Amino acid sequence: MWLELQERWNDLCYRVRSLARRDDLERELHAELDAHLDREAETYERRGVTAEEAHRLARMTFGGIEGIREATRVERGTALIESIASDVRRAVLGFRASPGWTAAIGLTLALGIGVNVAAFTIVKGTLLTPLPYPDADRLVLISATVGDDASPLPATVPEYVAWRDRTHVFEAVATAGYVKADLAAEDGSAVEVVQTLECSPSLFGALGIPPELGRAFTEAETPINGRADVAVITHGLWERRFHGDPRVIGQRVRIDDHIYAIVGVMPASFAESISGTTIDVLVPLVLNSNRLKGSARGWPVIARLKPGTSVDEAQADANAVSSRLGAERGERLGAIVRQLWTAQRSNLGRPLAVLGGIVAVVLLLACTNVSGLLLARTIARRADLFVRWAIGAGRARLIRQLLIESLLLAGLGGCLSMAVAWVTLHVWIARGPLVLPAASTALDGRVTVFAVAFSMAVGVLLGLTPAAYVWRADFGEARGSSSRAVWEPRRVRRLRGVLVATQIAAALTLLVNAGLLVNTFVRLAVNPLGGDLAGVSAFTVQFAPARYRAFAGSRDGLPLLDISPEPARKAAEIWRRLRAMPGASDAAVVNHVPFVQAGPLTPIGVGDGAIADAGAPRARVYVVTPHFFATLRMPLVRGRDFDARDAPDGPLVAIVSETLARTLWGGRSPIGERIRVATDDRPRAIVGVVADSRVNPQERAVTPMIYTPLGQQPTQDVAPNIGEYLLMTFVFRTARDPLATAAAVQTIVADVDPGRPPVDIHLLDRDLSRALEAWTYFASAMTTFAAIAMLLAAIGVYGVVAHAVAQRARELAIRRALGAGHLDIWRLAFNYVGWFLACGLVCGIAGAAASTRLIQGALWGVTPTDAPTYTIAVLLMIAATCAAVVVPIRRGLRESPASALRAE
Amino acid sequence: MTDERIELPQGTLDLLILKTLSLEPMHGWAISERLRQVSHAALQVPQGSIYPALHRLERRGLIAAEWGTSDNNRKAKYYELTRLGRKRLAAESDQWAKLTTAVGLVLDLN
Repeated sequence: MWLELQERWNDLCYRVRSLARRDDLERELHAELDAHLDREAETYERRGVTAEEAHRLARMTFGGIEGIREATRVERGTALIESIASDVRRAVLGFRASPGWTAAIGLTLALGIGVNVAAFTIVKGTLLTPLPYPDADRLVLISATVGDDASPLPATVPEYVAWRDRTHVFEAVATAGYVKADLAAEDGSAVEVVQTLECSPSLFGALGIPPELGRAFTEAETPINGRADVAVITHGLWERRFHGDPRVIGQRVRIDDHIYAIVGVMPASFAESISGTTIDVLVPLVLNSNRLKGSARGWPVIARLKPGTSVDEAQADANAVSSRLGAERGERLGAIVRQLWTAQRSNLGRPLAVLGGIVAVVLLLACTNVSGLLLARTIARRADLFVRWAIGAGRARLIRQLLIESLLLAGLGGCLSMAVAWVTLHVWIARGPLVLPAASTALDGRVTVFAVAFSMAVGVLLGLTPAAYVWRADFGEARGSSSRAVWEPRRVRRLRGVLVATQIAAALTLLVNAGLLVNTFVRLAVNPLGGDLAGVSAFTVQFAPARYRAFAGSRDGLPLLDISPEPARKAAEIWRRLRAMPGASDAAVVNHVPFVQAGPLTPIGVGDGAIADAGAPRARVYVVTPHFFATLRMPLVRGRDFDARDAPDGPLVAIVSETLARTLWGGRSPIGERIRVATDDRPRAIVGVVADSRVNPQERAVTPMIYTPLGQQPTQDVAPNIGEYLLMTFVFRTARDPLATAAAVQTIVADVDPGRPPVDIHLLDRDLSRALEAWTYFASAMTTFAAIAMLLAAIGVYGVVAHAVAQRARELAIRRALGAGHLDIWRLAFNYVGWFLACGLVCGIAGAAASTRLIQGALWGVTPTDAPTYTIAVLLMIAATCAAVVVPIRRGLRESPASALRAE
Repeated sequence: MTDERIELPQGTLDLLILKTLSLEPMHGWAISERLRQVSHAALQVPQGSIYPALHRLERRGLIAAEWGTSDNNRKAKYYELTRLGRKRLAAESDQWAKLTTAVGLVLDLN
C-alpha cells in the first residue's frame, strides 16, 4: 500500500517534470536510441559485415523505431497533454484564419454567458449569501395571522408582548418601527431630519450585533409609561454628523424636542443589514399603556431561537400563544414563524424567475446560433476531416479536436462575458426597480468560478452538434464525390431546422412578453388622471407629533388626543404667503397628493344616521384648502369650491367626486345632501362635485373621494389618526421655472416655522413619471431583449436558407433549366422554411402562455393571454422570417441557371 | 528467429529489467544484451521494447537514470535501481515465485 502511494506520487511528479522538460527529454530519447543502435551495429561489424548492413540489421533487431519512440513518449506520461496542445494550436490557427467568424461567435457567446453570470451574481448575492449575523439560521420572523386568512401580517403590540413573555422557545424576541424625527443639538440648533428606529433593547441580543463603541440600551432604560432618554446612533450618522469622534458617547442631542444621551454607536455592518432603509438613530421602544392596548398591525417581530430548537417547534409554541391571546380577546389569531432569511427573500422569487427566464432565452439563442455556425463550418471542412480520418486519426480524435475548438470559443466568450456581466449589473439591473444589497452585485471569486464552469459547460454543449455530425458522418460518401456536390445529409438539415425552430420559439416568447409590457405602459401613460400636474411643485411639511398633542381621555379604548390648532394655523400662513409669492399663480394645501399618494380609505355615512359597522360605502378622504382644484386643474362639475365661508365656525361642508355622487344619489344633484366621514362623524353639507381623479396611475377602478376643508378639521381624534393632521403638502403652480422660486419658498417656511430644516421641493409630474418608472423599465428592457432575440432568430433563418440555396444551387439550376418558374422556386423555399417556422410558432405561443404568468404582476389593463398582442407578435415573427428567406433566394434567382451549372 | 522463442507475459519485462539492474547500473543496450544472454535467447524481447519499459519504471521512481561515460568514452544513459525499486523487486519476485509454484501445482509439473 505504502509502496503504491510512493509510486503514484513519483509518477505525478515525473509527469509534471517531463511536461516542463519536453524538448530535453525528446533530445535525450533520440541520443539514447541512437547510442543503442550504434552499439548493436558494432557487434555486427565485429562479425564482419559492412557498416551499412550492420546498421540495417541493428534496426531490424530493434523493431520499428518510430513506434518505440511513440511508446516511450506515452510512457513518459505526457502524450495526451501534448496531443491536446497540438489540437489547441491547430484550433487557434483556424481561428486566426477567420477572425470575423471567431469574433462573431465570441461576442454572441459573451452576451449569452455574460447575462447568465450577471444573473448568477444576483442569485449569489441574495439567495446564496447568509444574513450577516452570527448564527443567522436561528433568526426567525414571527408574523401574525387573523381569522382564516393564512397570509402573514405584521404583529400588534399585544401579540409581540405575548410572544415575548409566554413562549419558551426563543432566546430573545424583539420588535422595531421606523419613525422620521428632527435631530438637533442640545440647544436646538443644526436641525436635520433623521430616520430613527424605535426598537426593543432585545434587538441587539436577537441580531447578535453589539455596538462598535459604547453600549446598547437596556430594558431598565425603557420604562413603561415613562420616557426613554438614551439613544444609540449608527456608524453612518456618527461619521456624517460627529466626524467619527469617539467623544460622542455621553453627548446629549435633541430628538423631536426631547433630550437623549448617546450611549453607543452601531457598526457599519448593522445599517447595511437592515432591509434597504438607512437608519440614523436607534431609540428605545417605550411600551406605554396606550401602546400595550394598541391594535395597529405595524410591528415586525424578530426572534432568536434557543440553540437546538427547530422552526416547527417555535411555530407550534408561538401559534399556541397567539390562539390563547385571541381567545382572551375574542378574536381568531395565529402565528407564522419563518426563518428571517427565507422571509426576507420570499418577495425576490418572482423577479429572479423573470430574470432567469430572460437570461436562459438569451443563452438559448446565442447557443443555437453558434451551434448553427459551428455545424456549417464542420460540414464545410468535411474534406479536411476526411483526410485526417484517412491517415489514421480516429473519430474520437476528430471529435476531441472539435470539442477543443468549441471549448476555446466558449473560453473566449467567457472572458468577454465578465464585461457583459459588469455592464448588465451596473447599467441595466442597477437602473431597475429590483432593490438589491450593494454586496450582491460584486463580481467576486465565486462568480469567476461560476463563469469558468458555465463557459466550459457551454463549450461542451456547443461541441456536441458538430461531434454528433462527425460521429455519424459517412466518410465513404465524402471520398466518393467532390466536396461541393455533396448535399447536406437529411439529418443535418433536420438538426439545423430544429435549431432555427428553437430560435423562433424563444424569440416569439420574448416578443409576446415585451408586447404585453409595452401594452401596459401605453395604457398607463394614456390613462386619464383627472387633473394636470405639469408645472405643479410640491413640498411636504411634517409637524412633530410630540409638540402638538395633548392627552384628553380615551375613545373606543384608544387614547384621545387634543389636536393643537397650531399646525393648521402655520399651514394656512405658509399657504397665504405662497399665493402672494411672485411667480406663483395658484397654491393650495392638501394632506395627501392625489395621483401620487392615496388618502386613507374611510367608511362614510349618508344623511344624519350613524355609519354602519360593516358594508358602509367607503371613500378616500382628502383635507384641502380652497384653490386646490384650480391648482391641480381638476374641473368642478357642480356647485362651488371651498372658500372663506368654510371656516371652523361656519356650517360644515364637503365636496365629493363624480363617482361618489353617482353611486350615492344616482342622477340627482347631491348639492345640499348631508354626508358623514367615520374619522369625523359630523354631518357635512355637500357644496360641490369635482371630476374623478385617480389615486395613482395604476389604479384600475376609480375610487370615490371626499374632500373636506382644512379649516374644519376636528379638534380631537384618537392617537392612531393623529398623523393625518400633522402632515401637510403644499402644492403651487408657477409660471416661471418652478425651481426658481425655491429660495423664496424656503424663506417663507423658515419665517413661519423657525428651526425647521429646509423642505424638499419637487415637481409632481416628475413624481408621476417616477411612479411609472418600473413599467417604463420593464417594457424597455423586455423590448430590447425581444428585438435582439428576433434579430438573432432572423439571422438563424437567413443562415439556414442561404446555406440550403448554396448547397442546392445545381438542383435549382436544373429545375429552372427544365422550365420551373420563379414561383415554383419560391414555393420550394417556403416549403422548406414552412415546417420549422410552424413548429417554432407553436412552441413559441406555448412558451409565451407559460411565461407570461411570471410577469402578470407587472401587467396593467391587459391580460396575460391578450389575443391582439399574441397576433401581432406572431405576425412580426413571420415577417422577420420571410425577410430572412427572401434575401438569399433572390440572390440565388439572379444567377443564371447556366452559370450555376458551369460552376460545378 | 526460432520457434522455440516465447513471448513474455504482460508485465514480466519490468520484473526482468529490475532484476537485471539489481546487479549493477547499466545502459539500455547492455540491459538488452544481458537479457538475451541470461535467457539463452529463449525470451522474445524486441530490443526496442525495453525503452518504453525503462521510462515507465523511471516514471514510477523504481529506477533512476543518469548520463555517464561508458567504455571508450562514449556518452550513455545509465539506469540504476532505487530503494523503492529494490522493494518492488523483492515484492514482485516473491509474487512471481508464488504464482509459478501455484500454476505448477495445478498443472502437476513438480
